[in-house]
Amino acid sequence: MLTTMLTKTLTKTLTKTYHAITKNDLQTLLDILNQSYQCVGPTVSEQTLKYSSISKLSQLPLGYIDQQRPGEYQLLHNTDSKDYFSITTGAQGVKPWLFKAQEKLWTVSKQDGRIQFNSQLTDEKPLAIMGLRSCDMAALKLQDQHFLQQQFQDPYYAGHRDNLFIIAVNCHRSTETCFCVSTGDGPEIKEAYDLLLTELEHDFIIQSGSSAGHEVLAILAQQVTLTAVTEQQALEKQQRLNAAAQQSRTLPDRPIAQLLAHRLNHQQWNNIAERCLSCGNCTMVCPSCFCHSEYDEPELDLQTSHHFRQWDSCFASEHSYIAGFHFRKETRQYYRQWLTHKFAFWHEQYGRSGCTGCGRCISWCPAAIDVTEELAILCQETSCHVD
Amino acid sequence: MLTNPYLPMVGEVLENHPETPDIFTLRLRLKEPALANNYSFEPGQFNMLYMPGVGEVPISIVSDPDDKHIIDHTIRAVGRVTRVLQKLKVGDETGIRGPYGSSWPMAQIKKKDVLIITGGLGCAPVVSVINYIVKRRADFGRLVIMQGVKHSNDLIWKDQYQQWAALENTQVALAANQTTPAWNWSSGYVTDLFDEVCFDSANSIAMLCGPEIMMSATIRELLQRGMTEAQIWLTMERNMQCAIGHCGHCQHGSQFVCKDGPVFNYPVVREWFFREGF
Amino acid sequence: MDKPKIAIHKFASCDGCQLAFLNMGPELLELAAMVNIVHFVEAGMVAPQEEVDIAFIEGSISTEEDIERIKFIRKISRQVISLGACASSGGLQALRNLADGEQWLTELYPEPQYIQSLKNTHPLKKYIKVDFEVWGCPVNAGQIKQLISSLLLGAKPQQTRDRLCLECKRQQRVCTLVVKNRVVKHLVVKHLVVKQQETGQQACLGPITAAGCGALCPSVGRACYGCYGLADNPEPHALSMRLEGLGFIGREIAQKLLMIHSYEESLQKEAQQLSTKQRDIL
Repeated sequence: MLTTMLTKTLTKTLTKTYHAITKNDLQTLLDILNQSYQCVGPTVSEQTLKYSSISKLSQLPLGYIDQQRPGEYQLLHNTDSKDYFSITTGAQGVKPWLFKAQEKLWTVSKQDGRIQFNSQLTDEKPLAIMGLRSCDMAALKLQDQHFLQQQFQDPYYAGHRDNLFIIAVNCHRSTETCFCVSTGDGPEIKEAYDLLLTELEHDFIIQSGSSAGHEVLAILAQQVTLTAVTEQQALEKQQRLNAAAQQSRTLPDRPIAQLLAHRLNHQQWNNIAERCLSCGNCTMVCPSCFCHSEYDEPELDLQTSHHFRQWDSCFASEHSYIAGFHFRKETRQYYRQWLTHKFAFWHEQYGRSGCTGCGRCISWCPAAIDVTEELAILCQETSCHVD
Repeated sequence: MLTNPYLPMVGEVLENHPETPDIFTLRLRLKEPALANNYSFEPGQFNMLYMPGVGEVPISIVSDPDDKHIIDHTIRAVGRVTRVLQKLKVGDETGIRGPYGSSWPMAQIKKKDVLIITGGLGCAPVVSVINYIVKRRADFGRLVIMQGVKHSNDLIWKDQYQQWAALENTQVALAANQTTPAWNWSSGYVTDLFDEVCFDSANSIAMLCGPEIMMSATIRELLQRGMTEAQIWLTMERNMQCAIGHCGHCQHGSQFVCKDGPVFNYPVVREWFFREGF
Repeated sequence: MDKPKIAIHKFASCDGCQLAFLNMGPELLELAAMVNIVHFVEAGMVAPQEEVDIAFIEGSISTEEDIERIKFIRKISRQVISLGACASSGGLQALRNLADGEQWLTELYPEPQYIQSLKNTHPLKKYIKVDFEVWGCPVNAGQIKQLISSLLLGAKPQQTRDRLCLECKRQQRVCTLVVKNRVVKHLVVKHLVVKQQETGQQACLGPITAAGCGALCPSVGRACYGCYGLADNPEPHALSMRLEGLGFIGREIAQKLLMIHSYEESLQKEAQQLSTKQRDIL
């Protein structure tokens, strides 16, 4: 076992060394990972990108690209393309694998009037996830901060997070709804990965960012040829990252947090409420949203009950309910709650905004509400109806 | 191995005392001796009580922190879970997690005048403070208890208020919005009681509990009477499911009420307090 | 303690909701161990007059006799629970409330004088106090299990009306209002399919519909048609505006909104507005 200091030094040197592998070598990497991990990656399913178990290179979305616009998601297929990772994002990143949409927390059982609680911490095969983007990586850091680095640690999240192996992928294009450059989270991935891939036309550039990543890379080196990255390849990598950095959407270049927090009566909240369906999809696809509710599922014999938690949303009317009273009652308030928490109060709670620019809330909003557009109006220089 | 803050402990019902038809005090003891010995709380903190098959609910602790092995909760049976908790009998077992949240600043207020201002039924979160002060009377200055209820029949612990009123250097002022002839206290709102009570505003601490509209009006009165915002403490209520700052329901501005509160120094929450939709 | 007595009654309906009991499978045996089912015609128990603790009612009230019978059931039942769309909001057959029922009768039946039905069909709550409503068309076994276990525990059943969207996304389903998947759209004008065109998104009612079905339709790539009734704080107008923006025509949207729960006033209002607009177009 390496000491922390040593790991850090080693990690530093390893991130600086990067190699090239051929596209087919990725199959070998998958084989290696599948030996000790449950390996998941991007696949095409239900006309979108979903993370599911992968063992074969052919399961990856070769030649697919995504076209995302407000309230619109479409996959296009280019049979000539040799790229596996051209789809930027699907509706979900790594969140459902760690903070599960539904998870049993414990079971209570009753016998002769005595009750007993048993927690359901599972001991599953560690997860290796391939394909996370810079926005996902930044959001993962936010979820870690929320579930692991506060006063209380969440043992369920921790259980899935421990030994998570991350093969992150640099974006080589952006879709219309991306704005990670504007949030400072992309397109280039700089930390927290085990392995990082940059896809070039013919090869991948691969680099490791942790001791676990280095170990896998060392095994890979025994089975395929890791070549030194040529100047040409380095140039191509830069060009591809530059291409990904071309994004048309941005957040307003204004102190969003302060402005939002003091514009609670802005006319635009009403304007949004006319279009917003209060469906909560934005919160369901947001990679940093963490709200969840708890509930019981009793067995019919009433001797056993299973206690679950599931994703909740600040758009749900029960979210603000106590003893006969709803603190928030209408769509205007629901949307404002979401936006002000994410872009204003988050700063004081977690030291930064809760948005990593993935654009999912824009694409997956069935009413096509564009958060960057709304923020631009809410944060305009001369704004009337300000409280 | 992490301890699991989501997992309840087993609590045994020692007593279930009805206060009114829909308010009751549930006395619990932790079943596991090791857990019971480790359990300690401060006035103002709360527990999550769990009914098997039904659910969990946050309930503030009203007993004295020195009585290590009994934990009292005064509960109004208004919700899904509390109505079932009301049916518990002595010897029954139930789930309990806690204590959670912040507490009243008991250490900081020694020798000061303490104003306890409450509205609505019961106001269990401050009863523990009153009992705490009464038990350690010499440590504190003047004790002023102000309580407003909607209807004079709603007042619980009537005898207890009489007993407190009889204590040295203690004043009790009660107001009811609607009264019966038997009511020998004031009529009106709790804020109407300020003309009746006396305290040294420069050397006082106010502790507030009740609906936010009532606390908001009370804060205005206190500030007008020369108190500073920092002298005001209050306890807030929000939907809480996890009680450990994870589930997000109780987020209020930059606070989570369950772990940063429920007891707040007023300046901490002032900006978003009693704002519509927060 | 005596086992609580249960009755399952049927009014104007398709029997699908009663089937949810039979669909419980082995759990029905567990249920039978906990409760005493005294009246359930579909399963062979007949005792409609017997006093019970819980009466489940399927179907809507459509005749004078129905009114008498439901009032009697209320008298002999400690708790009355409406089971499904018909009992809770009139269901499919409430569509006739929006049309000229008399005219239909004369057009459809050779001897309409033998049919004695109320002018309109109504949910139970128009005539009696309903303690709890179970929504769905049909309801499912999970809802029944959750409801009965709550009642047996002495607790109020969970009555959340969260949106289907939350349930759908929790299951990692893909939003049919967002994903373009080339459905063929039938453009209907005055009952005739006049044109077919390819479009992207589907007209999903999930954003205004209550959860509970397990996102059945979206899980097979189909749009929700609202059979679980309105969610809390529904925004039917915002939804119909969006659907119009996606190219759906007003008449189509109105029909979709009204299909199962035409009894809901907010849906009627929205459909009314849509069809007024439609008249201007056609």
